[in-house]
Amino acid sequence: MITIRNLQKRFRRTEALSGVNLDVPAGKVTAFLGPNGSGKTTTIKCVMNLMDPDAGQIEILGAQPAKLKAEHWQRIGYVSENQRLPEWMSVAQLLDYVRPMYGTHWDRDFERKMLRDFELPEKTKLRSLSRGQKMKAALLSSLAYRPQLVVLDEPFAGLDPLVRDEFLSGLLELTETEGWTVWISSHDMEEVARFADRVAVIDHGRVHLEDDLLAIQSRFRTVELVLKEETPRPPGLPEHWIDFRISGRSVRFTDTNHDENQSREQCRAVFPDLVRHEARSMNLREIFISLAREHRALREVTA
Amino acid sequence: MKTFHACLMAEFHRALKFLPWLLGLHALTFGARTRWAGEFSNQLVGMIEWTSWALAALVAVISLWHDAPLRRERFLSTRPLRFLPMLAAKWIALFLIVPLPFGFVEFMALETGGIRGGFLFLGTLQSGLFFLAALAVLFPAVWWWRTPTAAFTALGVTFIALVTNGFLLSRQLGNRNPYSGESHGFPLDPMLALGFMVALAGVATVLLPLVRKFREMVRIPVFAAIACLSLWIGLRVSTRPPEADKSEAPSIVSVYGGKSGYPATKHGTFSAAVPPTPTEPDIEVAWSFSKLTIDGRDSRPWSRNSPSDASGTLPFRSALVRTLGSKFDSPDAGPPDRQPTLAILADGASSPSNHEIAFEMLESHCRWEVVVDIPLKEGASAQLPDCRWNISTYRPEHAIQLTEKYRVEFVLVEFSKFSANLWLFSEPKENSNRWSDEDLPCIVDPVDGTVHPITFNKQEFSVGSATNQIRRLMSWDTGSSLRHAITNSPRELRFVVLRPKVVRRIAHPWKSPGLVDLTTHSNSFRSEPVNDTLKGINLMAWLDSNPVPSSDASSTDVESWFSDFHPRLLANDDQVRDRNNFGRMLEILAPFVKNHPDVALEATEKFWQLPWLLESAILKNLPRDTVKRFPKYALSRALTEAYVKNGWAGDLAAIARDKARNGLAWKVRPILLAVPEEVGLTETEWLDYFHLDPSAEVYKALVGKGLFQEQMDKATDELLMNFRGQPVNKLNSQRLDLALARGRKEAPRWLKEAYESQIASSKGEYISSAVFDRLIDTYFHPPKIELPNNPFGSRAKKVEWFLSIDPERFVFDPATRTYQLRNNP
Repeated sequence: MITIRNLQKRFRRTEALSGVNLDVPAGKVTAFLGPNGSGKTTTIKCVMNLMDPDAGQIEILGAQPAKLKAEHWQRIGYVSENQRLPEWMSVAQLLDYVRPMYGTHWDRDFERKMLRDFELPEKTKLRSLSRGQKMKAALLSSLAYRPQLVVLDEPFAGLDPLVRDEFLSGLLELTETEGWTVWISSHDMEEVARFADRVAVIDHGRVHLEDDLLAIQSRFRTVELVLKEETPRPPGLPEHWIDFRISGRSVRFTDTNHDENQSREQCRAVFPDLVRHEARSMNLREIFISLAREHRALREVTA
Repeated sequence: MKTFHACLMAEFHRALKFLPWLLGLHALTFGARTRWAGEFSNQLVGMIEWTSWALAALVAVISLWHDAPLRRERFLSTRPLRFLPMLAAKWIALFLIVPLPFGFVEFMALETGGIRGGFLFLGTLQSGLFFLAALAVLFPAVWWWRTPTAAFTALGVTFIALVTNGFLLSRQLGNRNPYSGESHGFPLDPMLALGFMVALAGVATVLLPLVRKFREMVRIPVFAAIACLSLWIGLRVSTRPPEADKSEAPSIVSVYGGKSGYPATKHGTFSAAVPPTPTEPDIEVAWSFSKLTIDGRDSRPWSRNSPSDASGTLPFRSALVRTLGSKFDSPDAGPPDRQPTLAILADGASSPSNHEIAFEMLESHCRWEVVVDIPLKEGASAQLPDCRWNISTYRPEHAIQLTEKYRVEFVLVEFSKFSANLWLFSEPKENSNRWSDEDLPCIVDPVDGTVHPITFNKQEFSVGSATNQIRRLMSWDTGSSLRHAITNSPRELRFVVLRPKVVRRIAHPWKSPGLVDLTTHSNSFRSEPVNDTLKGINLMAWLDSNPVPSSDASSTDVESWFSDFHPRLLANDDQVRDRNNFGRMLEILAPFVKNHPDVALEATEKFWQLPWLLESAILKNLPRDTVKRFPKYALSRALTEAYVKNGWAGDLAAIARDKARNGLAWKVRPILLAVPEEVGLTETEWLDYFHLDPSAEVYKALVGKGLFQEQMDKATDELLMNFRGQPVNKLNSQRLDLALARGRKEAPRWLKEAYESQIASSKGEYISSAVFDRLIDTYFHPPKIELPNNPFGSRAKKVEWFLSIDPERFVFDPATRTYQLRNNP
């Protein structure tokens, strides 16, 4: 659905994107994770033709962003926390405004269902709604036509946990039943981990990890070693060991390509006086932090 | 269609919160303009209108900015909206919100004001088009920018560019002074615009960090350039002179240059006169510049002729006669006085010099028509298709008995005119006669046929929005008076409005064959204060002790001597008046003039007060070779007079011819009239000159030398075709002189009637009876009466004799060019 290659974008002296490569496959929920300022929104804006990239190629629904036509937009649902809504309208007026643009694609029943679920006051002007209600209105106006591709940029900002939960459940259901493709950016790892099929992690304008969630969870392990004697950091560590820290007789690192059968042997090969070996699974948050630390260390070395 | 409808509704939803305010302002504007809401001051009406304009603009700008196609962050960016339905919906919605209500208010205001038919339609259309054009400008002005920074930067730059360019272009189009001493004027308009665009590009480059994007940056000068170009075209179109029906190039014209006001002023003036085209008696002629180029620079006149007293002219009276009957065919109407058109040029005047001059004078022939004729009483009104007149007050204040026959009534009259100002559909006003489309109200007395032109003591204008309407309050209060004959019948005064209608225009293009010396020496005249400390000195004694410099004295010594002598001469003028002293001093000064004529002539050009002594010395002693030695004084008044008096005018004939062809015939008049046969102007040139200066002197100078008598007689007869000798004024007294010089049969009767009219009444312009005395003295010779020796006594006797004779008894004698008494009565 979306292919991004070597996407670059610079704002004066700040390099926002430095060669982003990413694929959003059809029928899956792809989470786009990263801390604030990592380049998530910039990437999405470039894909949505809201911003011109400096370099790189983007393809969305088989077209370049600048050449997206009305027919394409009828298949794309985009909601962003930065999106400006016509706030002089009420919810009902907003729906009346956008509904004709989608013609037969618009599902009035789905619209009514979402209106009920979101408990939106139809006659209140958007400017008088809370941030969460505005986001609901935006979601409603972007999902009621059952888009094939849903692009959500930080959609949960301001949503209360109950609604967020309901929304996510609904989104998951639709993804499965309708075969929707969802590309969702967030800095809330735990939330996304509950429903994402794929995860892409971006930091400092570069995607450091992109894979299916299950594969990531199976590959990443925190490994803790206890040595017999205090040892300095040995040279030639395996490349899939990242975020390596050694303190006295204790060693701790993240194995990004963990193999239960071979892990102990690999460790013993590096540390012959290994006393204890322990590997435990990681959640998305821990994986992200580990990756972030590793890349920060690499940047410092490069600098 | 659904999308269109949705967008249309969205536009109204967006504007909804402004609409009540906008409608309120429209209602207030309507109430103010129709006076339904009471009398509003013009400032208040203006403020209401400006507020409604600003609010309408705000609605449009918000609507356009929200959906500006280049703004990526707009809501519709990621929506499947088709552009054309959205554009159509926006246009229609904004049309319904902005131009339509303004047009409707205009329609209602005009309709309520009594404007009807085509004028009502055009007035409404004009308002609608004005706001539609404003809307059309807003679209690119708002839609061409991606960010607010770029929009504000671009609009700021454009505003500055427009103001500066407008200022420069308006200067370029005119209002500049040819005497400012600038060697080079502004470049040609396109070059000016191009240079300005380059400057704008520079400004935009400086602003690059602000707008970040190069493409955005490029848009700024492009937008400003388009705006400036539009301004340039608009200015050009709006200042386009009215088209003339035909064009005639005169061979001789008169041009004048000088400064406006005295003694110091910031304005230079330029005026010109061209030979007028013969017209019918009921045609008024107005003059204006349609083009004026001085030293290659366009200049636009600031002021024009005004109908100061059209009511006394034959064309005006003809209109009254046509409508109100022959009782208005009163004898006190004369031909209109044709004045040269004046241009006032901006900036301080300095360094007068030679100039290359080209102009096109527009001769507008207007016929007056009575458009309103209503009784002069309160509440009377007249409705015309384009305006309504209403008399709000008529109150006689008091009256004064002048004579047995006449009395003066002082009255207060207040009236108003409400009209549609169709600026979009009328001809550009610039460079044309303002008054040619303005009504002239007057009060007429049907009983005795007197006409009282209304001179306004108070005028108030109120101009409606989009400058469509003009309401003008005028009053004619107790400062003015109605002077009329006392009759027994009740007086029912009429309020009559006359309107001039242009029936044709003739353009007279002229270009100076050479450089024109516009130096007006009077501008540099010095008025020396009399030095009281020098009073009482003996001039003769002073001249004895300070003899006139010798022929070999240096010019510095001569000037020094004269600068000592001149103030003493001024302070002791009484000594010069003594006949004995005068003769002796004349002799003493003779060598000064003979040896140093340049210093003497310079003094005549420099000082206001130059005692007759010096001028007499120049007349008597100026050497004939002065003009060869000092050609710069060739046209000085004193030299010309001396040459003419001494019979050497032929020496200046060639110079006079060149100057006449260069527009300065008025300056060399004495030479032209002294030796016309030597000047060498062609017949056409002489006739053009005569039309410029239709005086008895010119006629006599040419005919006296046997030049073009037939043509001159014909031209004179044409000039006198509608002449009736009345009213008594300066212009008619000159025409009377011409009629007598021509030997017209009716001339003695005209002269007698004018004389009697002047004696009997002080009506009209005051002309001294000495003027008529002189005419009688010149053209009539009593055959058998003894005349006293002194000229005054002789003239008085002649006048007495002339008035006693039936004018029909005089016949013209071509040999003596005087009138003789016919033998058989």
